[in-house]
Amino acid sequence: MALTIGRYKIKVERRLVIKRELPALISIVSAIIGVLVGGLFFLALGYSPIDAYSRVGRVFTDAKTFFLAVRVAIPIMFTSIALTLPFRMNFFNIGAEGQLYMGAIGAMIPVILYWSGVDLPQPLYVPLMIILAILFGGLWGLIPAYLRAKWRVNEILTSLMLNFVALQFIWYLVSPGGPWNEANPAFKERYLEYLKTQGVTLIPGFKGTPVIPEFARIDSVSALVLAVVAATIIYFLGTRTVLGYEIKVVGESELASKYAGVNYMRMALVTMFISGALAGLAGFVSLSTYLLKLMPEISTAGYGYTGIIAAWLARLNPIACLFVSIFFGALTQAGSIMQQELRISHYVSVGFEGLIFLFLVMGDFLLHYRVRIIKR
Amino acid sequence: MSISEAQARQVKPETKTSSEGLDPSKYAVLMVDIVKTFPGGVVANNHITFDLRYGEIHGLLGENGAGKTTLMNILYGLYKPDSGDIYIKGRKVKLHSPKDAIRYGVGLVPQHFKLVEVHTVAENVILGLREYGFIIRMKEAEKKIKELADRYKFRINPRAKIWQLSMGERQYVEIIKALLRNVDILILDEPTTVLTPQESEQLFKVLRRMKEEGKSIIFITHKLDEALSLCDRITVLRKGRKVGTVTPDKVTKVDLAKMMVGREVLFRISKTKKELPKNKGPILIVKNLNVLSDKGILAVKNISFEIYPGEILGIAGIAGSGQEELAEAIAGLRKPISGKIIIKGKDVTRASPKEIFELKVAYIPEDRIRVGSLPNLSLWENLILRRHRYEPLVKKKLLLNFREIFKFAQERKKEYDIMAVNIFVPVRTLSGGNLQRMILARELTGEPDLIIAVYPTRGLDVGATEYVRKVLLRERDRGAAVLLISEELDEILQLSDRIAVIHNGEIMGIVRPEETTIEEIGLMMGGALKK
Amino acid sequence: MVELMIINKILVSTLTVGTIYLIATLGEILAERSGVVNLGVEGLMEIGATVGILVALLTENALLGFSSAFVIAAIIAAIHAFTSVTLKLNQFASGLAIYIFGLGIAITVRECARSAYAHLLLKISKVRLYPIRVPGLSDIPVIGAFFNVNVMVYIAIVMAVIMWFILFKTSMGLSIRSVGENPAAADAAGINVYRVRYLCVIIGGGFAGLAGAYLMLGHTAQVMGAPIILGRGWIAIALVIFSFWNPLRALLGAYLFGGLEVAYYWLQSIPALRSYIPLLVAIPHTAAIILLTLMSIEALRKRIGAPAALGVPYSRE
Repeated sequence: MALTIGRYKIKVERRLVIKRELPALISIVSAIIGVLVGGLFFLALGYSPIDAYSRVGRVFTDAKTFFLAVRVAIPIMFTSIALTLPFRMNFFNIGAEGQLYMGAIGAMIPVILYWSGVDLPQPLYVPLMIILAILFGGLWGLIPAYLRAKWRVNEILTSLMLNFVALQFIWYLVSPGGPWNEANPAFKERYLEYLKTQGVTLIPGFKGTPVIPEFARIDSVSALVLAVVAATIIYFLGTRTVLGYEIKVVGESELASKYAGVNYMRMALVTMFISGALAGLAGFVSLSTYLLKLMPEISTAGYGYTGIIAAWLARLNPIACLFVSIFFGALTQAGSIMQQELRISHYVSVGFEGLIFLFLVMGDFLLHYRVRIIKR
Repeated sequence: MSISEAQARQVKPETKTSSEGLDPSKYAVLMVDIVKTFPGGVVANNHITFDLRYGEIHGLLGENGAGKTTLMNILYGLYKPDSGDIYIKGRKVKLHSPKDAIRYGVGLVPQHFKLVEVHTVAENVILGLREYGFIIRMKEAEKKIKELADRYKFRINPRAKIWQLSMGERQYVEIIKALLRNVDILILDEPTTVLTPQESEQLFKVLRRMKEEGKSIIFITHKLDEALSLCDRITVLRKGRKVGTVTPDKVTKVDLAKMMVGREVLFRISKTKKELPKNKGPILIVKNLNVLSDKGILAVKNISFEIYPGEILGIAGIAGSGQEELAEAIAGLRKPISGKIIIKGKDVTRASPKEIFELKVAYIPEDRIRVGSLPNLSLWENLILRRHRYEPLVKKKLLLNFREIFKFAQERKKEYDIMAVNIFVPVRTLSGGNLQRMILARELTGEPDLIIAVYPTRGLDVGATEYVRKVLLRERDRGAAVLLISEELDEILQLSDRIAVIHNGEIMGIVRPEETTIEEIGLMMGGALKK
Repeated sequence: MVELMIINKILVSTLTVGTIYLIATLGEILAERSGVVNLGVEGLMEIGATVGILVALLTENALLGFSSAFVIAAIIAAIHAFTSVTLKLNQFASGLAIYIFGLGIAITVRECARSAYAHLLLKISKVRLYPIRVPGLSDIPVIGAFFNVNVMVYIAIVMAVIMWFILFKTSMGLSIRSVGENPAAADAAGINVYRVRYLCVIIGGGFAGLAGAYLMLGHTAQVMGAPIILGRGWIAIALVIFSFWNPLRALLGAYLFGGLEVAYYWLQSIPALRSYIPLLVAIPHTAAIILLTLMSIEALRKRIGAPAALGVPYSRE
């Protein structure tokens, strides 16, 4: 393909060899361009981009804000790592958001039991919550996997629909009158006692569960360690095991994989269980480190969707996901800052994410083609 | 000096490559000094000058990769030449798309049909035409199609859906597409690949009628016999260059082959006559097998045969007779609806590809790129496919043992002479011949007992083709049983110990090459004879 | 008589809500018939909703609101077309990006408008669509419902019929379908594959914007800083599959899902189901999954499929 503009000839050729650094370079450049172009939208809305950027810059200069950003980044780490495996398989798991919700629901079960009067040895709570988050998230992920493997049902649509369904589960559980709402008489005994010691009263009409007790919480550092461990395991799984190899094969050519004896159903189920489990852990981490109550607001940050973009930006490398997630955590935190200080909806960070993703996808063009400008 | 050498000296092909002395108005088509290079440095057309006279059938001969299709794609406006001029009916033209070519009266019947399977014949034929209205006047179109078919004496149902038609019928749809656009220059790209010998003759009759009506035809082929019997003149291309243009009365098959390849070509690979070992039982038994195609129609109808170790059973038939589905069923990729497949005594009718692989069965698929390899993965990743779950490449069933894997890959690369920079390059950079070498390396390691080879030399140049055939013979000599599916009758005749001819899903007969003739096989391929 | 009037009411709501799905589905059918998947429908609908109502309020003209929603959504869809057709990149990723971007920016702008232009919002009642009333006809049980809906319902049905006619009875439609089935064949026939795909994606995107504007002006009519489409755009994409890429069948699916959504309101009044209301909201989405599954089983058996080249970029060399 060639285009001639004036004295310049622009030639587009297919690239034969892809330099190893190129994908990372494109990722970084797209992110930068996305942020800059987003700034233009600020102008359009009547705000000074420079003012907005400087406020946002605080995320990196102010220790407390940075800490908040990292805290938000951790669930994104989990969802992005969760997506590296299915994406490698060309299985478009858009349902990480729903798997996150289900994981959160699972993780809340021991807490709900506690407030209902059931007593378990305290050190058991956190491990139990983790296991349940993994189980619930993983099982939720199995649904689109099974449907796709058995009947070729489009996984994008199924996993996505399940997001909305899972959110409605949460609404059902935590709405006033719902079984897990904090005003539920089953919790009256223990929870009201606890609230009295805190000097707090119930807000009528509040949509949420009772709070997670201190002994069942984990701090951000432990969550971070968990994320790093997860990243390492998934990285190892992807590069050094037979499973990782087969995932690559299926992602490359489903037909060839069938010929090679790979059982698609088995692959899909295993991969999506792991993926859902990790997304479920994202839910657990969100609850345990900062949300502290299961509420529908768990959905506003959209970690499941951010994870898609982060995984893509990180080129499906779990270790890179850790770093990219911090960037997105900062972006999300910036959104909060803009909401509080400039009264711009925090959805603005979603807009930025979308823009970055768009430029990334377009930038991938340069991965396959070389553009040369020749002066005549 | 041998007789053939003396003959070669007498043949003086025209090799003019410059436009000096060539008057464009005298020719239906004149392509002067065409150069076309593809990314990667491949020079598909290297300063080729080609001419087509009015009212002639001009054969364009060359092996796979010689540049014939590229040159004609340029004439049809699909590709743009890097340099060179094109004159159509005396006018210098610049073609940007097939639309331009059609406007100047050039039509193409492609090798791989460009038809929409789910649409009808009429819908395909009138696609892109304005003559039948914005609101389509379908009846009018159907009538015109029937008229054209009658004029050239072939049968076509304008309302039939393409997927219901045979390959030969689809080809006529392509021809009608061109005729309806009032082309007087028709290019046919390897049209007989999908036809039986009898159908080819029928096609030649139609082409000769067109010639009588004043049309000029370019006939691309790699089959020497066809070129000699049909064409008025033959231009031979080799590796992107024009070797020369000759007339059939002045050359022999041997001369043409030499022009195509540049050296003496063996027409018969010496094959040791083997006595089939009678004491060993058959490796593969197929009994009353019925298999459905993708469209739900019965592709394999009640087929039964056996293959013994140390023999090559060739399956001859035009593409689409059910051979592909048969091969896939035996390899475990397609489940038959009834019948039995027994390999080494085990019933594998419903077995998975994995189980069949474990029985030491090798499968060389038809689609090298999409089924046979993983284009974006590296050479080593491709080579370990299928045995990536077993020792010693894998430790404890879970972990990849990279040391063993890389060793294995290097050894295979050397043994099969795979031309690649190293074992880490992505396989899509490999040429067709090297890709096939990789597939052979992967499949034939471990001394399989049964080898299923589907169109193994399709699209390969002569060197690679010879290599593949040599390897298959070597495996047979080692004692393996080979099921060879090929559309090249020559290949089947050369390599097979026995030949099964398939037509429309049924086996018409199983014969020995020494005991039969091409005519007989052709009749069986066309369904006219059953033994 | 009272029961029949309730049926009327249900039908009116079904038609009104179903039209949202219908318009979005029609747009996506057009795009997918040419071979391009646009997953950004939900985002384009959000943008259409924002643009639609803001322009309508500023100009006090609903028609201008609808038109600008169409245009803006079409322009953004053009970006998707550029990425998918010219750059030949992953269509799913590009569509997703538009979804996320569209969602973000549409809500941000709405929130801005809500806080900064609160006085404008008072004029909503002036620009929103109201059901028409045909004296006499509107009161007939059951059929009367058809005469008690807003004008967009009729326009959408007409659009469906026109699209069907164009796709299946005209040469333009034949070209579009051929591009979606076998772009190489269309190219060889002289059709400009790139141009056809661009047009279909852009117009299809415009439809999505229109659907969003209709949701806002014809149904919800509230400017909030929160998502408003709530998965309907995605269901529309599923509906394309349910209707086998046929605009007439889309009518069925769209009204079916309109009905499912409306069922939620009706079921709400049953006391036993009161506490399960949030789960009822998920009925359309669950139904979509079940229907998709049933369709896939059918498709496997009857071998009906999408346009063969759907999702695959085309390049000539």
